[in-house]
Amino acid sequence: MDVERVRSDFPILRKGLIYLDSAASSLTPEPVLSKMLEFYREYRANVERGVHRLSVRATEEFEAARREVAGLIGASPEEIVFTKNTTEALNLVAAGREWGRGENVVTTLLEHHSNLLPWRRPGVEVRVVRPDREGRLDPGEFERAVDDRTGVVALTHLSNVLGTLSPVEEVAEIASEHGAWLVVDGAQSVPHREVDVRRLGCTFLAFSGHKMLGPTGVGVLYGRREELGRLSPLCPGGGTVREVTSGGHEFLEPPARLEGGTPPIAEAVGLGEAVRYLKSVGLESIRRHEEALTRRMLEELWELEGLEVYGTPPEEERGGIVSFNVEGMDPHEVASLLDTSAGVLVRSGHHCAMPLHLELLGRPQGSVRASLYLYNTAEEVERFLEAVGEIARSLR
Amino acid sequence: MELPRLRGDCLVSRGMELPELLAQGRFLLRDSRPCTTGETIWELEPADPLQLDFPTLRALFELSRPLSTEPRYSAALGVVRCWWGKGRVTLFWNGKIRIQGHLDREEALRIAASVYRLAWGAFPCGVCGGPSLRCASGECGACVEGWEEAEEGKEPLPSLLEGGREEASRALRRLARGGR
Repeated sequence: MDVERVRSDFPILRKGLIYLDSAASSLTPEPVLSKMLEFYREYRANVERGVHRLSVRATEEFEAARREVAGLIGASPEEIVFTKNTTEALNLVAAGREWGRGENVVTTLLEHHSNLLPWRRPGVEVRVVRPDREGRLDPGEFERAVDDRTGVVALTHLSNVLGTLSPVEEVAEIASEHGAWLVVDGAQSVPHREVDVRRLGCTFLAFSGHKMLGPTGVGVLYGRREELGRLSPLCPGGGTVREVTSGGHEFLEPPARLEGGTPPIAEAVGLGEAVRYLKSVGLESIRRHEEALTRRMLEELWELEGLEVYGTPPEEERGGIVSFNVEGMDPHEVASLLDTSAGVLVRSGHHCAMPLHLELLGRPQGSVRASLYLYNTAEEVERFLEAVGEIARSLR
Repeated sequence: MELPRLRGDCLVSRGMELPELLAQGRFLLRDSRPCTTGETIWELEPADPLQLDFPTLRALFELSRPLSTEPRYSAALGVVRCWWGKGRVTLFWNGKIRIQGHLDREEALRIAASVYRLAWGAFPCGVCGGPSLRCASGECGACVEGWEEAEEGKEPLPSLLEGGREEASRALRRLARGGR
C-alpha cells in the first residue's frame, strides 16, 4: 500500500496534524468530496419518485451506492437499508422486531451504548456476557447464556475500546441452534478489514459511513432478506408504501419500507464512492498496514512505566485501536496535552462504553484511545509514542 | 527602592489584566463538558499564539510554591502542570491554559488570572522579544529607559512584579547558572 499516495487524497492531513481518532470518525478523501459535490452540481433531485432526467440519474447513483455497499460485505442490494448511522440501524432492529413474551437478549460487556440501550425494552431480559480481563469473549459463556427464549444475540465484531475481535462465527452457530437473531455491530470492523456476512453467519450487521471515509449522516443495516422483511418500519411514511387508502395501507418490500422519507442521498452517494476507494486500496492491505502500526504502538506502550494499556498483548490479533491511561492523570488532560503540544489528536473518555470502563477496567474516568487507519504512518506512530513517553516520564 | 523606568510599549508597562484581554478578544475562553464526567473544563488561550520562555516559566512556578503545588514540567512538550487551589492547571508553551476541577466560570477565571500574573514574566515582550521578567528586573537592554526611586504608593510596576523583583532577579541568576 502506498501510504503517501493515499495521504495526498486527504486535504485535512495537509494541516500537519496526526489524526489518531478514526474509530470516532475517519477523514474523508477528495474523491468522496467530489462525488458528493457532483450530486449537488449535476443531478440534485429526489430519488425513487420522479420520472424526469435528474431524478432518474439521482436514483441510478443512489442505487449504485447500494450495490457497492452490498458487494463490500457479500450481500445482495435488497438486503441493504440506508440509515442515519449505526445507532439508528441497531434501533431499527430492536424497535422493528415483534418481541415475544418472556424473550431475552444476550449481549456483552464490551458493547458500545448503541448496542446495549436499544435492547432494554419492557418485558425483555438483557443478559450480559463478561469477557476476560483482556477483553476476550469465550463462546462457552454464550452457550450458557443463550437459550430457547433468546430472541437476539447482540455482539460487537471489534471492540471500540480494546480493539479485540469477537468470536462472531462461533456465536452465530450458538444463536442459530436456538433460533435467535445474531445482530452484529460492525462499526469498527467493516471499515478496516474484509467482512463477509455469509461467512460471519449474522442475521443483521450495522455500520456507519463516517467511520469508513464516507460522510456523516449515512449508515447501513444489512439484514438477511427473510428477517429484514419481518421488521416493522421505524419511520413509516413517504416511500415506504405500495398502496394507501383512507383506512389502510400496504408496505413495500425492504429496503424501501424501512427507508421512510427522503433518504440521505448525497451521503449515500458519497458512501458508495468511499467503498470504491477502500476497494481500490484493498481492505486486506489496509488491515495489514494497521496491524503493523498497532503492534509497534502496543509494544512500546506495553513497556512504558506509568502507563496502563488495555486489551490483549501485542502478539495477539486485534484491530487498530489502543486504549490506555497514564497513572495519576485524567484521560482528557492527556488528550489535551497530546493535541496542544504534539499535534496528535486522540479520543478521551468512555467512548460510549461506560459498563466496560466501570466493570471491567475499573476506570470510571475513562481512557485515552488512539485509533489508526490507512492514512497513518510509522513516523506518526513514533511521534505519538515520543509524546506519550514524555508525558508519562515528566508530567504525571 | 530603585526600579527601572520602562518604555511605554514594553509588555511590563502595558500590563496584562485578564478581564480586559477577554473583553478585547485578545484572549478566548472556551468550556467543554466531556461525556459523562459532569465537570466543566475551562480553556483560555491568546487569540494570537505566543511563545512563552520555558526556563523562565519553570523558574517562576518554582518560586510560586506553595501557591502552585506538585508542579511538573516538560521542556520537550512546553508544559507546566500543577494544582492551583482546587484547579488542576496545565499551562502550555503557546499561552493556552487548561483548568479542570469542578469549577464554575468565576472560579476558573480567578485561577487563570493568578496563573497568568505569575506566568506573565515568561510572556514575550513585544519590544525586546525576551521574556518580560527580564524587562521587569531591569536586565533587558532594550526596554529600560532609566532608573528611578519608587515613591511609596506610586510604584510604576504592576503589583506582582514589583513585589517579586528581587526574587525574579534571583531566579534569573539561578537560570543563568543552569540551576532550578
